[in-house]
Amino acid sequence: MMGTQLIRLVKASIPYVFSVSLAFGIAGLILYLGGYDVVSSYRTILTASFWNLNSFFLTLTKFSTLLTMSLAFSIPYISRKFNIGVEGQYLMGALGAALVGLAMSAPAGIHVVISLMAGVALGSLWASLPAFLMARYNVNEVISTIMMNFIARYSVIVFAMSLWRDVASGHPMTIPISDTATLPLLNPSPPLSSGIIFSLAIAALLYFIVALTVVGYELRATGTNPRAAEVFGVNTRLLMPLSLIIGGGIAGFGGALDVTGYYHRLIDGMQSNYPSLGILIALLSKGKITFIVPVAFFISVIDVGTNALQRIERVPIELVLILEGLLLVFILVSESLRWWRK
Amino acid sequence: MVVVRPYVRLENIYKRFGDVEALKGVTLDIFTGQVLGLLGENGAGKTTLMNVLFGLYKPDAGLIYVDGRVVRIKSPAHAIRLGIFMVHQHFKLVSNYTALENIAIGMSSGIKSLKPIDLAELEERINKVMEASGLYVNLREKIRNLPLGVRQRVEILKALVRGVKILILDEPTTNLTPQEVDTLFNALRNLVRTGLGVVFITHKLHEVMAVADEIAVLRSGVLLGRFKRSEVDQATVIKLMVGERIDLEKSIIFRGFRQVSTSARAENMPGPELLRVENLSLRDRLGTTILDSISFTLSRGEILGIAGVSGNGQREFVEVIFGVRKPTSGKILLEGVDITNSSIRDRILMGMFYVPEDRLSEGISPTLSVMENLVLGIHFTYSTKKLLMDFKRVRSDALQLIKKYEIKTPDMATLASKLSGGNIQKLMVARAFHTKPKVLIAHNPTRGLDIATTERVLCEVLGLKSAGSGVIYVSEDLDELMLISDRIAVMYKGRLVGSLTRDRFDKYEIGKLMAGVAGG
Repeated sequence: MMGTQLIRLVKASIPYVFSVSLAFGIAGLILYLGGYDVVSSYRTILTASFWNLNSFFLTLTKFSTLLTMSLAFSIPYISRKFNIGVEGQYLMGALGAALVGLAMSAPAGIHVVISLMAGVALGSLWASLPAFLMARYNVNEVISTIMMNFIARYSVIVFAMSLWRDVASGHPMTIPISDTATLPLLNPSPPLSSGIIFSLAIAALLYFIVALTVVGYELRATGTNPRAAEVFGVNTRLLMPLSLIIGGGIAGFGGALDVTGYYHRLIDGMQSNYPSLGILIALLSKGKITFIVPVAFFISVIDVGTNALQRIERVPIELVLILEGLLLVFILVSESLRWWRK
Repeated sequence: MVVVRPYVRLENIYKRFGDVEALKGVTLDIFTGQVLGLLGENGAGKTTLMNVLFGLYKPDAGLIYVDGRVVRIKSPAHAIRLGIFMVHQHFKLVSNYTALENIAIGMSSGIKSLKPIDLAELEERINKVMEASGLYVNLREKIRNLPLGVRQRVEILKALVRGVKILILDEPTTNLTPQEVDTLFNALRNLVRTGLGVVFITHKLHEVMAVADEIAVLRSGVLLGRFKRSEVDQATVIKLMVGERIDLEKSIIFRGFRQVSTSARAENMPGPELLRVENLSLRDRLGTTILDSISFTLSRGEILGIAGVSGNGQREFVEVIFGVRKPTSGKILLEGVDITNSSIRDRILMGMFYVPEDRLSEGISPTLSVMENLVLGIHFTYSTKKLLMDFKRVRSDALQLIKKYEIKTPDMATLASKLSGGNIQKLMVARAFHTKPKVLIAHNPTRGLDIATTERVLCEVLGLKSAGSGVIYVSEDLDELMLISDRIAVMYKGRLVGSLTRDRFDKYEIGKLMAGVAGG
């Protein structure tokens, strides 16, 4: 039994390995043509994350954010709903945590817990409007969640420019939240937030729910064939919007983790390009949480590695971004290769 | 004696789909001027073989001769140019075009297709063909307004007007009334006399016995024999067709209607009322009536057969009964309890279960495992404290079901999408019988099953009957309905017309009801 599963896993990973090698091949060619040292560039991309504690912690921090974002996409995805609104939900979660961290005062442990809860609440609230529109009026969740992203982005700016604006900064951001609202550090210097523990715990919890509970079974049944699930008594009309709201909650939690654990304030643009990377990770993993964890880590390593390329090999940032894009495109192509093999 | 050269010769044809070898070196001659019955159970490779000839599949190996020359048939258009036409089970007609326009489609190709077709001249030609064959169609009517039996005639006319030499009909009697079957058979006899060659694909022995000059038997991709109809007895053909897997003496299917009628079932006459349906109506969003005040009762130990040409509301009917759709008006009572507005889950808990017609879109969850699929619908009964799935129990039950229903799967963790159509059907049937339903609603439950498995399904249905359950058995297969039903009602344009008890079963009487000729 284990043997055949292992063989299956190996078989399934062949196209990935192939396309990743191909991507590195082409990236190498471009670097070579640009006159850069190809071998040392490769080494940089793959190993930069492990050079020192600082870059390793940086990788873990990115990993934590990417993990929550792809989980936020994957739960609705399992029931066949596309939560493109990860970005907005993440930002609103961040805003909620910042609001509690700035406006409230409470004892240390309690304050941060309330902050995180506010993040989850605002994130799921942000997803519930699209969920409601979908359930009630059949509005496509892709469109509505994208719209909610815009609203969230500008809400963050408005919030960051109002009462708690950091006047010392030229960029829209708030002043730091109270110390009582910050997450404890796992390591003081270089700093590593305990957020990573939370996101891994969320991944474990979600895996447990999806794989082993009745609701998880119904979510999966809904996603693979909503009609069959409905015909056999699964309440898909409730599950689909619910999965979107849960996804929103997870994204909001991710935003709150980053505010309380890493940035300690709300910053315009703090989501960076992570939402799209998160969605990409979830799609690559077909929503399977057991795949999401390693894939998210791999993408974080690549991200940190290509950034290091700029500093170490003096490859211009534009080229770095192109390389990163190429790698991701090829990994995506490998996905269709897998389909084609059937 | 003059040796007649076959118009088509298929030589040593091989075809493989993934792991399945569909054709294992089939050699078959097809002559003009005769009806060749291509007999075999579902999955034997009959349709695949003819699809190869019609240019839809490329054979992995083997040669095709047409009129003595080797050809590589590239496409259906190419096959038609070679004088070969195939009418599939699902007709390939444009529904908002008239019959005439449908026949005209594809008559010319390339640059010539820019020239308008002379429809008047075509119509005249078609009229002649209609007279010669006895297959009449109102050419000015749009396809969507024509019944299925007439649409089939349009397909056949399409072939005849093109002057084809070989006409292939894939299970042509599906969805025909017995009267329409007679008309079709007469027409085929007429056409053969004028020199047409017909290949008649079927899994029903009595059909080939009625219409074929020669019978070729195919099993698991191998041609096992070819006989003149006049020189062969039924038992030989059946043995070839199904192999040794079925005990013909005990078989429900081969024992025939009379025997089943007297022995296996008679001891268990229908008991007290189980399900009552009153004035059930359904209208769609536009207000069109789909179901029109349907009333009936189902008793314990009764099998109610619902006959009818597909598309007369059968699907909506079973969906309303099982709660997939809400009726516009009317009442459904299960053992006296009004379940009209109960959820599907409540109905399942009360002992209803369902085998949907469309196995791919409604029957399975493709990316769930076979094991998980086997409990879909009753999965919540496998929970501990309503929260965790008890996969241990799911596994042991699944193991049993896979064995009992001979579901061919590498293991139970295999995704359901990897199963073949027949095995998916087995899975759906296994799931339904596993719940030991009080009321089973089965819609074409034996579609695509081989004879051994069909036999098993019919046995289980009869088993439910003797256990005191009621079965609503909706099928397009009148033979099967007559075999197991206690009562047959006919669905016609959303109404339930007629209701014949077993002693009054008459194929032609039911046929009239199916065609809407006799009033209920």
